[in-house]
Amino acid sequence: MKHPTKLSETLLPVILLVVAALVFISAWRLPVTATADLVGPKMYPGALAVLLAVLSGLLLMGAAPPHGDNEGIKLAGIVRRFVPLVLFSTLYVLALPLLGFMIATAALLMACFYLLGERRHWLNFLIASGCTLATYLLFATLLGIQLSAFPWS
Amino acid sequence: MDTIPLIMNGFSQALTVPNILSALFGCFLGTVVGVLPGIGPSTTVALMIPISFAMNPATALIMMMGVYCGAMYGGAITSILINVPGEASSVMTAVDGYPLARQGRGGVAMVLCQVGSFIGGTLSIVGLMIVALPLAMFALEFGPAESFSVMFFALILAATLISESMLRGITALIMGLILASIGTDLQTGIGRLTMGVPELLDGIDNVVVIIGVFGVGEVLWYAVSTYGKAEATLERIGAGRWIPNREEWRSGWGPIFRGSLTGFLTGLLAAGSVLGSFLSYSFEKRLSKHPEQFGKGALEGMTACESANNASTGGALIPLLTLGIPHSGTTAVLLTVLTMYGLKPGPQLMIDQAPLMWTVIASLYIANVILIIMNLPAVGIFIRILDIPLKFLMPIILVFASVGAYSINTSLTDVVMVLLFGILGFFMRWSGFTPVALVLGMVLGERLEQSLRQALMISSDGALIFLTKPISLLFLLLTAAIVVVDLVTRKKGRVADDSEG
Repeated sequence: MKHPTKLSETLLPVILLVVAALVFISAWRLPVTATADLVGPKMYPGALAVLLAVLSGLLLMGAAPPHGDNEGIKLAGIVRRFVPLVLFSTLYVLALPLLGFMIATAALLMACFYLLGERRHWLNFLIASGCTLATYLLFATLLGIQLSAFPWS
Repeated sequence: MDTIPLIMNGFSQALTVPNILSALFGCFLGTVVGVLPGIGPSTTVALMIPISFAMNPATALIMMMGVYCGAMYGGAITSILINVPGEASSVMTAVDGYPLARQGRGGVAMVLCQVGSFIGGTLSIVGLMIVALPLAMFALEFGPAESFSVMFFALILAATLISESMLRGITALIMGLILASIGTDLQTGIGRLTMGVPELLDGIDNVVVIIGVFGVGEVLWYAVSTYGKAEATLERIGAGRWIPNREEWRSGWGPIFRGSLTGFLTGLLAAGSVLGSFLSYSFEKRLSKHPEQFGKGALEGMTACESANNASTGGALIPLLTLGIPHSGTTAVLLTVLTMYGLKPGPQLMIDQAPLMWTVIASLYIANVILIIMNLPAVGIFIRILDIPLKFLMPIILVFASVGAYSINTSLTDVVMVLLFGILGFFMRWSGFTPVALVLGMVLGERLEQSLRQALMISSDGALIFLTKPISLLFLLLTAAIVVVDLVTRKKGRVADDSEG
């Protein structure tokens, strides 16, 4: 077994080891009830956590063949595209109740278009406004989903 | 009892103007619901209950069956075009459908899916008419031990076949099973793994995970993988042709019929449509001369699972109508509707309420015809989505996924979850894990655990119950055989690679 050195092969197994520990502790702390069966609410997630920890350990020891197909994912791409996209999406969730669907969605779309390389602001504005309106009509008007369009609505 | 006069009478009742209009409306609404992520057919059918009070039972049931069938057809469209399956049963369609779309064959994929859906849906109704009662009785043989073994078999099959590494496949599967165990424990009422978040007491919705790992994960992947590349190569996928050529038709027929049979039979069981599409995909990969193409754009895999998930509709109606056992959210709502009209599902239903039941069965045929007529020409319109430059399309998918998630419970928590699962989907792909195994674990996880615990509760010999029941033993042996064959095949492949190297 050859130990993996690439970040893409070590990052997730390390995170999964932490997750496995958290799940195990959380399952272990569950109270025992009189109605519990043989497996109970504890044993099933506890056993899965142990299994996850073992499998993650094996992955960290290089038991799986290396994964080569990463389609040119670069750290710079993660920093300059992934991080801003996640940030925009988080701000979108926070902005939705404050600004309403129309403004928050159009702003998110325009920011994403710009991030992905479209520099013509007028085009970004037109497409973002059109898509926002179409999505609102589809979900809120046709399907009756409760979405507040504007902060005052 | 002679079936022909009964079904002819059913057609004469179903082919009235109000009933056809009702079927048309149901099919249209079902397709829309199938296309849009978030709102499932069960919610839509439930929302139609108040409308149905003003209708006669036959018209209302026809409309609801239209929604049920339409949602199955519609699910394929977003799976293929934008990698966002609206339902768990469409996940496998995305696995090969989306790569096909990226190769400019999205139109071909959609046409074959529609034809496969039509054949699968129609054959399952034929099955429903002919063998409903005996098959329902056979399904009763499936106790918790058998259900556990079948699901265990499907999970291991998926983890080994779909993933390029068995270890990573099983790890992704375990992640899915852990996610499925979040929420209130059904047998003790204890909240598990909720980390103090009250919204998690209801568990995580499968659709949230699916939209996240597939839809948002794809957007993040596109954004990062295209960083620094020349824009000319990234502009758009392009609609391409949408009429399959002779070779594509020929490659589709076998998987369509095999997928229909698998889907119909698994429709009898819990999680039928999901199980059916996963199993039929796995069978096709095993049968294929080019298994390496699966996951990269294999028409066979995609048509098989799409036929299977439509064929499961007829299969799922068998335990519902003949035994009164619903195996999915939609059939559970349909059971409520049946009882609301004073119908008592059970072995006598097809006899006591023959005119109404045969009208509903006839309406299923009509719904399938309406859906193929309505959806085939629509392929040419939907496929135009692929002409949108990706730098615009991807953010639109992000919004679509967020609103779809919000629409499940009208909760922003689901939007946050979708984003988190999108991040997970990105890192899984980066690390070589398959999100499909995670989703399968998530979808079947709860039933797997319940079957395991119920089987152990009723057993006087503990875990031996899984070995003493013949059907259960058969599936466990098949699982072991699959693991051994897979290990040997992979080892041989690695030795061959090393010697070539």
